[in-house]
Amino acid sequence: MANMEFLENITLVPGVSGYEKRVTRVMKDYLSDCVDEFQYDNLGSLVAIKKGTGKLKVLMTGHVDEIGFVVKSIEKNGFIKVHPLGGWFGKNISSSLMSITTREGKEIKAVFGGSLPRGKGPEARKLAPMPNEVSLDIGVDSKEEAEALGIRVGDPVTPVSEFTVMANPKYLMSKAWDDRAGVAVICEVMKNLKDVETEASIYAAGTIQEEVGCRGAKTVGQMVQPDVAFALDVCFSNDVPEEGEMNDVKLGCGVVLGVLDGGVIAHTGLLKKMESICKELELPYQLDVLVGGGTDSGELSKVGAGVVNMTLSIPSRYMHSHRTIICKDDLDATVKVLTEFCKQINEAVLEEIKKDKQ
Amino acid sequence: MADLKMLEAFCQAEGISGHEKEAVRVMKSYLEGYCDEIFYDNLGSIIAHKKGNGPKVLFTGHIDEIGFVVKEITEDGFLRIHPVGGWSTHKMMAQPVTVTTRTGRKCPGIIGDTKKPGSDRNSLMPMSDAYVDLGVASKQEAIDLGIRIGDPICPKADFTVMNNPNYVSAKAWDDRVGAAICTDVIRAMKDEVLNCDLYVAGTVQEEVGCRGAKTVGQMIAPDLSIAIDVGGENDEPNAPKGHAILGSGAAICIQDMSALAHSGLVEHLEKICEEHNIKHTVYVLGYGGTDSGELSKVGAGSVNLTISIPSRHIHSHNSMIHLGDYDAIVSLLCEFVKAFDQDVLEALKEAKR
Repeated sequence: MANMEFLENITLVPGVSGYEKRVTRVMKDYLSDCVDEFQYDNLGSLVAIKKGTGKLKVLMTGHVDEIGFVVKSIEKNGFIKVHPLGGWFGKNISSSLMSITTREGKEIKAVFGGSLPRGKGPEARKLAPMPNEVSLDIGVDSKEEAEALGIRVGDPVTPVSEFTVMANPKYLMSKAWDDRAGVAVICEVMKNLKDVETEASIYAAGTIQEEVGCRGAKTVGQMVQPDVAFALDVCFSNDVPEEGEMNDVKLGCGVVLGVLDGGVIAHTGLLKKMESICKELELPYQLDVLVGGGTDSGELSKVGAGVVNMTLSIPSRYMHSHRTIICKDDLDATVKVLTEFCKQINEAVLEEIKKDKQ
Repeated sequence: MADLKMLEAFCQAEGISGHEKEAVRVMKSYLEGYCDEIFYDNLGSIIAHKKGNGPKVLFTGHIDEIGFVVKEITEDGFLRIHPVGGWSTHKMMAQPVTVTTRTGRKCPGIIGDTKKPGSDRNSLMPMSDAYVDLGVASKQEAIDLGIRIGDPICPKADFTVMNNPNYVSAKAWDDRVGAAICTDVIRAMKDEVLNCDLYVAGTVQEEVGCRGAKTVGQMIAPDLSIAIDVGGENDEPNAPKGHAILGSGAAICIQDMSALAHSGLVEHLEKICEEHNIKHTVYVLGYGGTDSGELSKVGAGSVNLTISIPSRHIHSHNSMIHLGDYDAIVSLLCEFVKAFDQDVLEALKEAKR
């Protein structure tokens, strides 16, 4: 069962792409009692290792970065211009609360303003401003005042949100479920495996810079050279009234097995293995065909001579906004399936999986 | 201080992506005698190595420039061309170029500017309509010159010290200026005993996708890498003015579309600039990329960022830089290298943990 205190800590800690170290520290603290070793890549990704009895290596990744901004310039009147890190939708920016972290580690609250559509005709009211059309207001009178606070070009800007248990307590709202939900899954798998002997060594990695191009997955993949790799990430849940019936993926309906996305096609042998584990455990599962976007799998699958790989997803609503919602049951189900895989995998099972491609 | 004769030799050498040899040879002539060894990757990138006992540092400037290749010779002796790197046709019209044949013959040409009948006066010529006028009467004359499909076509321009002598205009500042800075840094280190192992490289094929950076990065496997390239913000009259502009010093790039600067390294370089009174800015580039995109992701990743030299009119025949910025970047990199060792590397890595 997911640890609620950890879920709150891991989602609320700031960590936009390129500035993830506070997130990896929370992850490292949580795992310190149940793994054999920690390693870092040189970009800041954290890899927690549980040693196995054999040579096989299974890598699970959840990306620790979240979307945000960096300070691009400080204007004369003290307003701050920013540049986006990751894919922001204009509609999610206006009036939202942000925090600027200075070089010294001070947090400065800021809100996105931007001009009103008044006097510009009815069409202007329908348009969402883009990041380059709005400024951050930190409530100061001048550039000098902003600089005196320690704000400099290049400082990270992170969404501010709350961790909220919703009316039905299995629904959880917070920022950054993308992809702290994945991070939480791999951490819980490591907790489950604490006193379990596995043939494979299990690597749980918090990868950095996924939102700007899966850069940590590339370096961690090259570092670990795994035999099997899973990317854990969120996917779109299409069960909100505005979405219609795009596919079957819904909150609360279990683990999502990613069939394909813009960056990878699931290894068919591994997909079949995961389906059979779900059936053995009598856990419901959903299949996702993501027509756009991608995950760490895009890089992981292509390391070396290629890696047996797929993405496991947790459905989420309102991705890439300040307030996203997931269902705890989906998270728990994903942990169960992945834990079981780690217990079952051995040379013979891997050969069976690989044979599906030959 | 920048050596104008060297900079002129770097810029005037011809070397579009995939045909960088002339430019590489110029770079080699300025490296010889100032390093322990010079070697190449298999795509043509040049690497100079000054040995030191410590972590591996790699500085790159890409040696290629944008240009064209011959796609077809028309019956009338004009050349249909294919762009190599990011051109906009409005910057090409009626500009001089040089076509180099398989045997090394240099043939002057002019990019023609006649659009199809009925084209809108204000529209750009589509790249597929672009052509080079060799000043010959027939296809046979062009063939007799030795011109063949695939021959490189390089921009031709003057190297001009402007009215304020700090401003210098030339072709190919993108990125011969980076290659020259790398060269000047290793030259300046000649008599220093370093606690790091220093490599500088002129990388090929950046303009078509940072291909030399990928091969050189994998070859050297650096602990820390810095790409030096043109960049900076606008300081011309038709757009909002930025801070990382000509004359503002070394421009430390926080991010572009290819890489995010290692935040520990940004702060480290800022400190060096402050200690040594080196002019500098930090800035965010909302487009484009540099060799850093590849260098940062080699192996388990290298501690990396891009230092830009502010520039104007890039990807045209006549681009402009400021010599004060050149000197600032050389000073910054020299001070960095002199103080860099295993302890500094560990502290930088720790900044991400």
